[in-house]
Amino acid sequence: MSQPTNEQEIGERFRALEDGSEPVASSQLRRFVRDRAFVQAAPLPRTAAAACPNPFRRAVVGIAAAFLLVIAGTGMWLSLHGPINGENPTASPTESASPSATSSASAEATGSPLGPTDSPSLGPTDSAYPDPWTTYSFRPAPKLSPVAIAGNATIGTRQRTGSDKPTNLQWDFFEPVVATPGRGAGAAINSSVQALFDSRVAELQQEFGDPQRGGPPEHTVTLITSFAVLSSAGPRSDPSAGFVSLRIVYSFNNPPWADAGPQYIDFLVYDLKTGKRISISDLFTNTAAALQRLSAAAAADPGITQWTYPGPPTTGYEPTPENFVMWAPTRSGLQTTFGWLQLGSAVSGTPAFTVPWSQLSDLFKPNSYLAWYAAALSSSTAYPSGTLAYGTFGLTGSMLAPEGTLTTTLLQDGRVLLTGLAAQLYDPSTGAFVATGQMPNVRSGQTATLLQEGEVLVAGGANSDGTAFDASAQLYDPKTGKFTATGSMTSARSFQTATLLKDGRVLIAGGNDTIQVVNSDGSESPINELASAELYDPKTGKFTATGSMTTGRAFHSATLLTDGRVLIVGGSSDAPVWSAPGAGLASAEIYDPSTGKFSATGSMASARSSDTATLMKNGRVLITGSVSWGQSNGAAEVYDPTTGKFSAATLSATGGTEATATLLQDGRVLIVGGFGAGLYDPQTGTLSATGSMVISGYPKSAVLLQDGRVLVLGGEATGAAAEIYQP
Amino acid sequence: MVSAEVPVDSRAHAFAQLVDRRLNDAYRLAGYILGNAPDAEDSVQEAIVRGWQGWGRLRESERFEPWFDRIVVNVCRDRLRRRRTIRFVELDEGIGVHGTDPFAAALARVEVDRIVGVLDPDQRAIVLLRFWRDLQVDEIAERLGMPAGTVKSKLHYALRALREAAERQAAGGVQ
Repeated sequence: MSQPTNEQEIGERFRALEDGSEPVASSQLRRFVRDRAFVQAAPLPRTAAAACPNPFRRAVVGIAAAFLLVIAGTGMWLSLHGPINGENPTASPTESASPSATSSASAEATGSPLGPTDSPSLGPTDSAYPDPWTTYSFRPAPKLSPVAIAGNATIGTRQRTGSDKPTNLQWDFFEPVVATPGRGAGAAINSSVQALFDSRVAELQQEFGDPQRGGPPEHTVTLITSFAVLSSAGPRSDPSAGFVSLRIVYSFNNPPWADAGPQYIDFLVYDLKTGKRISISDLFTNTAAALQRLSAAAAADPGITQWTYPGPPTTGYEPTPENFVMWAPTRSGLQTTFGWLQLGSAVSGTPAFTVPWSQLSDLFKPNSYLAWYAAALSSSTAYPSGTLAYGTFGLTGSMLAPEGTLTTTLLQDGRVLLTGLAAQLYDPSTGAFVATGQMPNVRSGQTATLLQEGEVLVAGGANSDGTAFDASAQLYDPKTGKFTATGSMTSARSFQTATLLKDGRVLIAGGNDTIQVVNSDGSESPINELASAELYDPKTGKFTATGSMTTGRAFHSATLLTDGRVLIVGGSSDAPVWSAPGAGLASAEIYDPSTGKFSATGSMASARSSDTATLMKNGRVLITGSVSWGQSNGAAEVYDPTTGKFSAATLSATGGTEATATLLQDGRVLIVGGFGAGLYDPQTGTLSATGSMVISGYPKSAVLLQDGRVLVLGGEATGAAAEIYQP
Repeated sequence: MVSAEVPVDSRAHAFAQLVDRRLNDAYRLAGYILGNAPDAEDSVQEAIVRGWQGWGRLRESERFEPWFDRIVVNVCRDRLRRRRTIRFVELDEGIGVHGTDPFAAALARVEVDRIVGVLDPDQRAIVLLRFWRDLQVDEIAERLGMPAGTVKSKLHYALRALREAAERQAAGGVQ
């Protein structure tokens, strides 16, 4: 039999796995069930009273959607604690901030009902929906200061809640509120948005009350909204003119409804001078011709066609205005999003594609805002004032080799060095990845650390044929783009940590020293986590042993504290992670460079490995993401170096396995994980949702760029996609 | 509805009955994902324990199948994730495992054993659920606890990776 070369044949192979002689569970396993040995193996959970509500009716929700799940520059603070404070102040035109203030809107949040705290206040509902149902928990909304958009207008947030007893529906809206200097325009926009919300609620009330669809759910379901300002611009010649483009996502906060994705997405573009909604038919001198181009572009876009299964879409992007109603002006072009099932009954999700302005500009109505916007964008690399779309992700160049362990190191010149299967450089000014020097070894589990002199120390990892871990290390020189050998570590290591100390040396701690192998009888060779640690001195180019950790660790985190000590957290211990609940490590320790010794510090509430640790501006360390006994553990904890203790932080709906956490310039932390992205604000202790990645999934790495944006790599395990987050 | 007032014995009995019905299926699911019987055996046992711990929270017994599948798949994914640090000797080297292990043998028989090594844990689970179990994308999404769009795109990348691996192998590039 030859190797399968197409998808159909691959599918057939897997289908043929069963040929009538299927393996069956052993008698031992069967006895484990019949003798109820599992009862002894696991004590009963505390209570069984917390039952999950019925899964939401599929007919209403459609199939689960991954994309655009949660979006909000300014919105979406979901409350688990019942009614929140009353309305937030609406936008005031007198408080016009500079456009750059948009990016720090949430950081300015004040007056959270819970006050500034890192400690949790988790209601009973949190324990009511533990795994296997996803736990969602958010904190009440902070008040927002209005921020400036184009045309001397400002935008703020107002919260509106309501409920309908007969249908068990609640709503908890975060509405955009626009204030314009001109009379009436802002009010017209706001009433238009509200009318839309009201109509959405009415539709849901009808659905929830429909006995044909199962009638009202047993438990209250809350519809929540979030909004983002996608873009806003106006001509400098007329400060009262401009447009604002909003995206509003409606979703449910109650699992498992929440899993099913957003209920609706609305894209709204308003004229800030007249308050009128701009439709796609208002844009072009020849709408039919423009729609033809959009339709053809959709058909040719692999981002659209890859969404189709099993074949290409046959409906949904014909050149009619209805098919392109979800449009938005973005920096890269006119973006269209397709709704659920729009491209066929098998196509869930909300795929989007963008047509560059250059392909449409000849059809724009003269003197329209969009014509101006497109021209401004294409004529200059600098963004015109007021056009920053904040809180959103966008694709950038593709990686050359996404496989293996990807390290990201911000170089002093602003570029980012990636090591992994190949070494490559990301240049934020061009958005491109280019190959750089040849690494002597193909790497997995290595570390890459920027040294004070600007070179990068790459240490350890798997060797080139993957048969062993490596003790060797290289220095990368960004000036020459070359790797050169430096001293070798005292031990082979992989999945260790490397931390630049204040004196310029690098602390290497823990890791695995041998590759585990599976023997022919299925048994596994022991896996060893190292407790040993060593120091690299760039002056001598040598590694020397230093004190050992109190316990062996790999897949742990290491964070340089502001006082120069290093916090080591979690990791996997010698015991296989699946052998017992909590077999990751909850313990933590501190390395003191002045004594060269590790000592135990407080322990986390939950065991974790592959966790992220982020030093925040207040000197504390945010720990999030992890695997603990196979459960992805989204709960975040905060370490306070002054007390040496961990305290629980807001539960994170976006953490989980393989999360990344990146400190932003404004002090918030961007967390990107399995289920989306969130912003943690240490000032308020709140986690708020933000725009979702273009390619969803588990990012491999994320790094803060010098301009404040974040490069997020590898939305998919094998994907080469890279995205930029604009705070 | 299961409530805390129901004695443990009868709850365990109900749970055991449901698990017993799904046992072979769960075992095979784990076996094909993990590629060998000992791992499958351990994983299913672990899944049962985890399932029992979460049993009180599963409200409708008719939803047992996807719920239990999800636990099995999660256990396997974690196991594979953990194994990312190691080599798949039984797949790469084939040191005698194919002859004895029923899962390795089945994977070898349909000649996918060497190419599935290119898949990550999620992809492996998705491909098996899609083609071996013949589940639809939304059913897989439910079992993996991820959005359907994610499943679809992971499936897309998985098939591409499989195809490329097969082509490389056909061209003699894989030892």
